[in-house]
Amino acid sequence: MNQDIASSDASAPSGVADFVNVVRCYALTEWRVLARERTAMVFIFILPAVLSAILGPAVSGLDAAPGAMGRATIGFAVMFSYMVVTYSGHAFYRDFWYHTQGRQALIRPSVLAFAMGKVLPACAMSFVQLLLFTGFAAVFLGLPLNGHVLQVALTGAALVTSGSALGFLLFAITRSTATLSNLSYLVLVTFSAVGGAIVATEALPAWSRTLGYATPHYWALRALNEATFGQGRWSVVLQSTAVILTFTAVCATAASLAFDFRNPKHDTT
Amino acid sequence: MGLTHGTVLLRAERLSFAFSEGTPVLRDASLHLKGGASVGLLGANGAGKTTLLGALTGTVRGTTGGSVRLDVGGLPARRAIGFATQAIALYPVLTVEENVGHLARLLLGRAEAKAAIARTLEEFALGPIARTRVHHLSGGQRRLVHLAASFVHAPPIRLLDEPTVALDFEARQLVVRRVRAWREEGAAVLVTAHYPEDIEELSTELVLLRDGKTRDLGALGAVLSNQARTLSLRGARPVSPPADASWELTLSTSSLEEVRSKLGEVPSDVHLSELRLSGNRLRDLLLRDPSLSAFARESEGP
Repeated sequence: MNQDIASSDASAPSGVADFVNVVRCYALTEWRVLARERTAMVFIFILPAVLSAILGPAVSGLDAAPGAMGRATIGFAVMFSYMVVTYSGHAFYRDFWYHTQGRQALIRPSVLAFAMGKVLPACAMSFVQLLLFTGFAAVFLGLPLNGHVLQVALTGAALVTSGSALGFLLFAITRSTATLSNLSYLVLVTFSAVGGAIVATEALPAWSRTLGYATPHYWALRALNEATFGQGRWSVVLQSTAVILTFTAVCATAASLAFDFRNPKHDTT
Repeated sequence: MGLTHGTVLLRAERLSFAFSEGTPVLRDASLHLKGGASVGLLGANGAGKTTLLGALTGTVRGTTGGSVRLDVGGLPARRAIGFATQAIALYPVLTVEENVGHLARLLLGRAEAKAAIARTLEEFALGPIARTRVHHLSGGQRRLVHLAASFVHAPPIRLLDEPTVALDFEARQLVVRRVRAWREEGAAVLVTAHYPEDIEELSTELVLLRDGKTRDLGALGAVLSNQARTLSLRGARPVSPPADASWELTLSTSSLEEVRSKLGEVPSDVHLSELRLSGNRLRDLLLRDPSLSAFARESEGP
């Protein structure tokens, strides 16, 4: 049988088993790299813990309120969970650092499976961080949990997924790791600031609050506040999650359109 | 798939390629890779050898023309082609086994991967360093791991871009043996190398890439048989200063008979090492077989 390599889709995975295999292979390799390089652990787990301990409720603007320390801890957890943007972007750039991008271009796996495998470990780390910090705040810092733990989990999953999608998009539209890193730190700080992760939304000026509506952080904190301080209403949590997932879908779609396995990048260091 | 010697497994016709910047690199490149044969791609630096490999595999982005067709029994392209790029493509913090295993599982699935990893590590003599992280390895070892990972799925079509860079003698011989074994198994091989000596050892057929166009030079043996043997006479001046000054006389000829006739006047009972020419003592006589080096210099020149 003859097949034209340029136009054939013979490289496309065939079926669910192949899709799962691709996700698993990239995820396993990415996990090994992240675990051995360790910097992701520092930025996702240690830094927010240290900042929470040092700055605590003084930053949240809620130092008089009950559970303020817990609230601040969640704020920092949300803020640094968005390091997933950087580490998701790096997961894709890694192939350029190590010259393995040609292999992906030759193998041409399903873009969705490839992207999922690449971002899954960073996503999982950020998700675990959110759950751990929330649990710690609930047990040790007087944070109430009026809703259900599933509400926290759902919100956390939606938030880190949105960060991964944004990381994928930033990779697709940038040409170097430096640009991606700068943009992702900009996102980390501004989204956290206007979204209410650093200073509680109630303490922000009106214009900041308005900007905050455009960030996943605002909606994540809205859902988390409902699950913790609030009444635990599923409608609020689901509405907030839906907004975050819409943000995710937009980023993922734009990234998929801009992504090409053959796209060159300037930065290969 | 069962590999058939002589069957064209990859047929590239009239390939053209230009990067987005607009510079045309390939204009009219055609190439047939046959099972059981190894094509050596000759070309000066910047001739477009790497780009041709990229165009064949669809891994570079730009304006393309022509066609690349596979005849590999319906095997998907990702399974049919293995491409060892010039740059070593490995994850440094992963071990040798993990790097090879990543591609094995990706391309073959878990069931087939285990046997493929074991076989490949053995073929490339990587067993003793299988659990070593790549960043601890030497450049030559990394090159071998890179080759092992690139071909762990035993593809019928194997492309090697500068596979001998940074290899010591033993490792280089290992690569030569591997390429010969692949040929015997019926795989189609395309190889580029910096040095014609490497091409000579790794190839059975030659293609020249120049000005973006390929020229099929035919079988390596035929190319070499058309080249002249070279007779070099080296001697030393025993008297005139400087004392260690040497001289060399090179005669180029296409046959041993011609060499003999040029040396015809030397009596058969005279040891050549004692031969004196024009008052000089002969120090060395060297008859070089035809090699690709001279041919490459002529072919790749400006």
